[in-house]
Amino acid sequence: MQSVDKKNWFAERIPVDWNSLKHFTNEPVPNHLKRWWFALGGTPAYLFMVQLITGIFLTFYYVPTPEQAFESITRITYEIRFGWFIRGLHMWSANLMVIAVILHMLRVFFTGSYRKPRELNWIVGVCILLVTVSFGFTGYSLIYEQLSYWAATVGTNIAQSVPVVGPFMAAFIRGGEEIGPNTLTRFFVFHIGVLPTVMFIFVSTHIFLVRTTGVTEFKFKEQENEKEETFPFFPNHLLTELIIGLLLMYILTMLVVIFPPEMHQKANPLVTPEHIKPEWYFFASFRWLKLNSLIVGIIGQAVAVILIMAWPWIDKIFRRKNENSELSLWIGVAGFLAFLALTVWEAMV
Amino acid sequence: MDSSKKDDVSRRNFLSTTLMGVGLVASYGVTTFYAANFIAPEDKKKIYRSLYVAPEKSVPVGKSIDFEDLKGRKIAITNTGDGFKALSTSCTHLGCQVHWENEKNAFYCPCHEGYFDSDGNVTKGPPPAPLAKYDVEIIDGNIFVKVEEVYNAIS
Repeated sequence: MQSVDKKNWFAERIPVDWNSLKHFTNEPVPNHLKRWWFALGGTPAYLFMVQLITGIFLTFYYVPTPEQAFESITRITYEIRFGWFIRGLHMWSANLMVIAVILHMLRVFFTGSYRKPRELNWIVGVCILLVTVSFGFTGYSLIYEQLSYWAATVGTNIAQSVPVVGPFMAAFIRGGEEIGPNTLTRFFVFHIGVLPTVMFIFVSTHIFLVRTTGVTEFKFKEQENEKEETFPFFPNHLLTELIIGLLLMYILTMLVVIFPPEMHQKANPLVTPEHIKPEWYFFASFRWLKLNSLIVGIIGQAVAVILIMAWPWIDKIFRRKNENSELSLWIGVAGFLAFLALTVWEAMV
Repeated sequence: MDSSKKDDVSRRNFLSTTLMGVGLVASYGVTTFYAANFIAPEDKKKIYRSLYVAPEKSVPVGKSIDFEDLKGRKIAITNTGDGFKALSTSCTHLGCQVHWENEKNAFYCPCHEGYFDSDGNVTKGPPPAPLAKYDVEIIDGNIFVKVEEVYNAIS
């Protein structure tokens, strides 16, 4: 009796139709999702949560000024209890997140899941990738070591070289005509305020669209005899995700213990070191800039992003004549191999 | 009678809607303008002034010295024999610092492998323009360079 009262008490105060909400959140999951590589979308989401929590912890000690940024991270890394572990988790989950987003994108691309009616969600996904690398860029600039300083210089100068809006954009990001004290504050605000908000909006939209358009369904040979087409999200799929979460925590902890974060040389605005490289996910872009003139280097990359975003419609053109055209697949393979080749090339020298 | 009453109401409606609309646009517009100005960096007029570097004699022919402008940007000042030249060491590609390499006989930028000759002209790589030059003056046997004035440490 008492429990019914309690139920009513909440029902009156939170007047929501719980049954339809249950229906909306407890999506029946197609059988192909029992395969782990179809659960790659949940991986970046999990890693993002790790970064959100460790990121909040790091802000307890980080000081975003050119005088103190490097010193405060040195303290986090070498003095504060388990600072190395929290910072290590933050760093490694950031790197793994870039990998996970790329893998998820490859899976979606090569299974053609971006096609009608999921074109918009593909674009949202590409935006999530861009926000992810922006997190990386602003994040490692905050450390204020040599790599941070020169990456921020190169990155904001790339923005400056964009025709028409470039100079304003660069001045806005830097908080002035050159890298200065304003820049670090702005990068900090982008990293812990603006980008997380934008990411939250994109990820919510992404999940909402996945839920409303449904995921693409695949049939595998050995599943043909299964009676049920789907299995319940709760508890079955949630358990799969939990297992992936456990595995990720294991991998992250191993990485942090074996390769803990370190401090390198403090930023020196007067000297660009002889061997300077950005984080690995910018290697391809970095190599491309070395190979081409400034304008081709920048416009080429912008065109690549626009092409990727527009791919659902480009693919439609390919398949207008021949429904089974595999042109998209081959261009995708070529594009990804080119990205890998540029990345490896930069890593080798 | 009826129709005029209707007109009255709609006129009143129209007026109040318009006023509301104008008020909304004006207030949010002004706020947006102020907010945009708040986060946009200040656009200050550039003023230049001459800065003392060193006595002319202290830089023999063929030698060069490093100097910093008021913003802390590095300048390489060289005695060419015909006079002095002052080159900015900020790469014109994406802003990294170039340095002189004797064996390559060039200014080299380690970021994207740009090369400049001793006059600052691009000889190889992606930089789109020669290194920036500063005006040099010799007054009473002393070297001066023209650099941008700095108002405060923040700008």
